[in-house]
Amino acid sequence: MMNSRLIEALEKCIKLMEEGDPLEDCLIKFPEFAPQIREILNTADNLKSLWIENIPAESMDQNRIKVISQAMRLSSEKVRRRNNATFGWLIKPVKQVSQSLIFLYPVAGRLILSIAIAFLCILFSGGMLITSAKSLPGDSLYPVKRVVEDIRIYFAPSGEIRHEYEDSYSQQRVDEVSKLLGLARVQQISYEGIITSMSDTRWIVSGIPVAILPDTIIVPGTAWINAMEPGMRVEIEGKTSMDGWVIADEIHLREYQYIGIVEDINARYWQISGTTLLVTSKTQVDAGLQVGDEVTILIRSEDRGLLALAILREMHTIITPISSQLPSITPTQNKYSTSENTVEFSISGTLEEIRVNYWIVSGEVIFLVSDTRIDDQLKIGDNISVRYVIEVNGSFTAREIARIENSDSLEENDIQETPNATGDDEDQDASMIDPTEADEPDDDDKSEDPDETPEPLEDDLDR
Amino acid sequence: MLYCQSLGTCNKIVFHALGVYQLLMTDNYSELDGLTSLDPVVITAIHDRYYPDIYRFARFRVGDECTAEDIAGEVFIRLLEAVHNGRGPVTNLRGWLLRTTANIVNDHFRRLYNRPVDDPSEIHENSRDLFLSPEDPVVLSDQAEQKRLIRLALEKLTYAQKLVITLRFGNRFSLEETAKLMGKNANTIKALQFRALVSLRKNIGSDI
Repeated sequence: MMNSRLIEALEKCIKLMEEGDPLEDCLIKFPEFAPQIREILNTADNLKSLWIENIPAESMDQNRIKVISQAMRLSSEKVRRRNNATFGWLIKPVKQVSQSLIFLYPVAGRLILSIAIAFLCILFSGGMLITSAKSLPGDSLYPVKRVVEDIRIYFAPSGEIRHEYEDSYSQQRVDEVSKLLGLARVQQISYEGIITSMSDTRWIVSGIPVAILPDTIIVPGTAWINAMEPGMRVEIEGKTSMDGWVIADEIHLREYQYIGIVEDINARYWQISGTTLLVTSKTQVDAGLQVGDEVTILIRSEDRGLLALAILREMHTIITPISSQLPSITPTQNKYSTSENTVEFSISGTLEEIRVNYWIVSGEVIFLVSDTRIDDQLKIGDNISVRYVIEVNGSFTAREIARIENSDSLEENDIQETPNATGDDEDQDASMIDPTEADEPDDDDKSEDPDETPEPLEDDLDR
Repeated sequence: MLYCQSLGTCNKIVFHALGVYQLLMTDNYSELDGLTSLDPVVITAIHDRYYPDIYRFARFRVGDECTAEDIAGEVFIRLLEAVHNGRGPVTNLRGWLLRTTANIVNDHFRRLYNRPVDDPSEIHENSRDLFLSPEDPVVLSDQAEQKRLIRLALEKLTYAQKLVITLRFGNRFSLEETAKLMGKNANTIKALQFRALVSLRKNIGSDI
């Protein structure tokens, strides 16, 4: 059995020799083990000769570079292996597709936008739009219908088409309310219509009975309008009831007319009797109006303010000198100058719009007066014939409006103007038309109208 | 010097002016964490820290400088591959490296013994030392021969005996460090060392 003291003595001697003590000095400290450990310590001393003090720096640096490069290679391989494990099967085809579409990179943004728009168009041009078009207030798709209408109005290519859309959609609101009443559904609604009859508790607005309650708020619009009258266009806000009535919460005056004095004229705004009116390119304005003139204004009340639809000169006021080409008619006391001496013209066309004080026939604005004779049950789209006079300001005032029963001879939007000289003053006629053309019958005229058909007046065209 | 604490695996990275940086780590687990991610900074620090021990171990056993360098390089390559394959060291990095070095040295000698032409007894000290040293070549040659005989005797020891002799005299690790690396207690290492020295003495005989 190995002597543990011998082993301990050997270990201590080895430590002393590592610290630099000579072999003999170590053996002196353990004399009882000296004969046994001398040779062993000699062997240990020989092993010390194999000790390497300095590490070759060059080989260490080279080995470091080799190890680091190997570590980076393995690291990248690790990442590649991880990618291959998850979506490795997708990498190759995706790369091939992306490389084949590299020519699209410069227009990638537009392409994505176009695809998105096309997707929306497909989505909205399909069943959703068809379904929403039939929806009524309160239905889930009704907001879609209204948004589509707003978009169509916004992107209307011209002002006329925009007006067509607005009128069409306004009529749709009326139809929707009628359907709701027919279905006896209680629903919050809002629509515009013309007052056809009024009583204290019951109005008829575009054929729909409206109940006026004590708490119904009636907003007249301006200080000049103290009370609403039949013929005015109003907006009804309220709710339908099960008994076929619309209970009005608020009634806003939308279109009306009044007479005022022009106080200020700007490019976009006119100041008339203290009220500022917005004037657009579509506003019909009599030529030559100046500050101080008395005018009749047709107004539409909008959320953004009061929009002037027409600003017309009052006939009984002193006429402001205007273009020399205009006929010099002495104004009469009649408001619309419907004197018997005035030359009458006729126009045939399609009734496009019915407003409170004027109709639009194939794009021409024809004003109505109290003694205008109108056929019953005329409606938008009818082919009508209008006999009218041209006022001194160039506007048309209808004398008679009649339906044309046989419209085969009329082309769409065709306007036939026929002067009808009912007056006795030949000079006055001559001042407005070419007397030669007016007097000579046209052999080629196959119209049933026996009146002659001259070329349109320059004054009319200029107007 | 600029001290920065950026890596979770390292407590401190010291950048020297020449671009040589050294990683100081508080415990073995920090090294192992950085090693797992194959972080070049950590790998560099580990290399610089353990290369001398590995080189000395290999050089003590094989004697030849070039062979020792190759073995040291092979140890680090094996370390990276083991980590990459998930079979790297778990607790004791130094022990793993030195065990791997010992295995590679054994493989080296096994190949050497299996060579039919070469005589394994021809293990000799690096011949460059004989001619580059200012000392007497005869003396140097005797010393080289003495070292060769010691290494030949060393290779006749058991694996554990060779390991304890190499760690104690080739790397000059303390008894406690050697015991820790070999996973044994200090008394066992003392006895192992005693038997190894006795055997070595017998193997060397009277040649030296």
